[in-house]
Amino acid sequence: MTIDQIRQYIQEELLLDETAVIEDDQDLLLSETLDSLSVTRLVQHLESELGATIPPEDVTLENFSSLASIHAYLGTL
Amino acid sequence: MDFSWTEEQERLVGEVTEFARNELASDLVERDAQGSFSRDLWKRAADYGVLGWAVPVDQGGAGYDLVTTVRLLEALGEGCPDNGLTFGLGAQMWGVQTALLHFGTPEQVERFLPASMAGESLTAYCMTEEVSGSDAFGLEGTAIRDGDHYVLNAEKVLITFGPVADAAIVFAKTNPEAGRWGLSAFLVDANASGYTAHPVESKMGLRTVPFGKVSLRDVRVPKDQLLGKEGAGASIFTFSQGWERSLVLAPQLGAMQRQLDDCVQFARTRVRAGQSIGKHQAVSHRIADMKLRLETGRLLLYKTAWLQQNGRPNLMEAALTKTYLGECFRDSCLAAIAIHGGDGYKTAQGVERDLRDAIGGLIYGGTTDIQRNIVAGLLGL
Repeated sequence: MTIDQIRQYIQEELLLDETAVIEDDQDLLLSETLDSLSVTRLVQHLESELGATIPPEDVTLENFSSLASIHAYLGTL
Repeated sequence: MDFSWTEEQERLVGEVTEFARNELASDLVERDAQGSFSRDLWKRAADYGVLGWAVPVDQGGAGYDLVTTVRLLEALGEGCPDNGLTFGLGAQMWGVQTALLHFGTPEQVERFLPASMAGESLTAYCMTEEVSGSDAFGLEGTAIRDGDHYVLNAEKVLITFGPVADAAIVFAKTNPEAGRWGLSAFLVDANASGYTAHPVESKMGLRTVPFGKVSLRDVRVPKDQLLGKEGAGASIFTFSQGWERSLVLAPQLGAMQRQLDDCVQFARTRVRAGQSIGKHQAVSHRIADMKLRLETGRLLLYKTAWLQQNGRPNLMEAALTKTYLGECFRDSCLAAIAIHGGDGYKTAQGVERDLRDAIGGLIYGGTTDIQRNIVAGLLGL
């Protein structure tokens, strides 16, 4: 799954704004760009797209703080 | 789609209902009035195996699938009129045991799970603080690393089993700068120095399960009692809340069945002006609505449990289930009181107790307003 695909899902489905600018290294969590429900939806979407399970304990600041960190984490699954 | 139960499931349901009716119903009016928790009844339920129903066989449990387990909890709620006891059992199963099974190390599971299943150890789930509540992650308690320990400071409120628990799962900030993403969870012994369980606080309903405050003042917790990874507290809470939201109201369905049966019997045998009151549509339509709420609630709960069992997303269904079952029980309780009239208003009948208990289901585990926020959010609103 590419960074752009993750970005597009966040823009269209979570932020409901296709034009929202989200840089690869932009913080998503501490800035509250994504609230807890949005993160849960994102995780479910990623699991569905990848056919993989993301353990709840892996949903941390380290792994989900930005598009780049999410992409890097998915590469470890 | 197959709605039938197996013979084995039917047999278990019958046995559980009988057990609950015969063994878990004693002295309820008095215990409700006094607001007292019966450790004896808790142990009876544990000895019967209730606290191991959903635990895998290789962990010493019965290993029932979730649909079977909620059906058995429903049977428990039908036979046992003590809604506080059945709520407490569910809270222990879904909040505590599920977190242990999914995030605990083998050593943590070995230490806490067998005692939990045996009813010998009660574990409180300490999340809520005065400043948080529905803003669950807005808590202020801290856990600061100091060598091989964490030092916990927190004031937890509205904690089920807080006054009597032997241990606690405590959520606190290990990285205060990171907000909800700096939370971690810990297994804490209630006899640890600095851990204070405050007296039972009186409440409107569910009075047979105690709740109250828990204070932690410089409690030193060994690092091997960190539950899950450091910083994973929010995800652990979200995960276990998902289980609790999905399944904790299962006994209420049984209570609704018990209530329906009672109302039908009452309406058939209570005669006024020469006919049973059930012949009046003001009564019979209320009972028909009770049946409707019961059957639709069942479908929603079983579907949610099935999704959970099969690892499928059920965020929406869980929020709908929590909301719907909570409000159905409340509405059926009000109907039951209306049907019973003055008798329903009397404490000794137990009809009014169900209503007081039902209000709790609208609040604990995330209020119905919060559940509707989740549903609306998932609909893209």
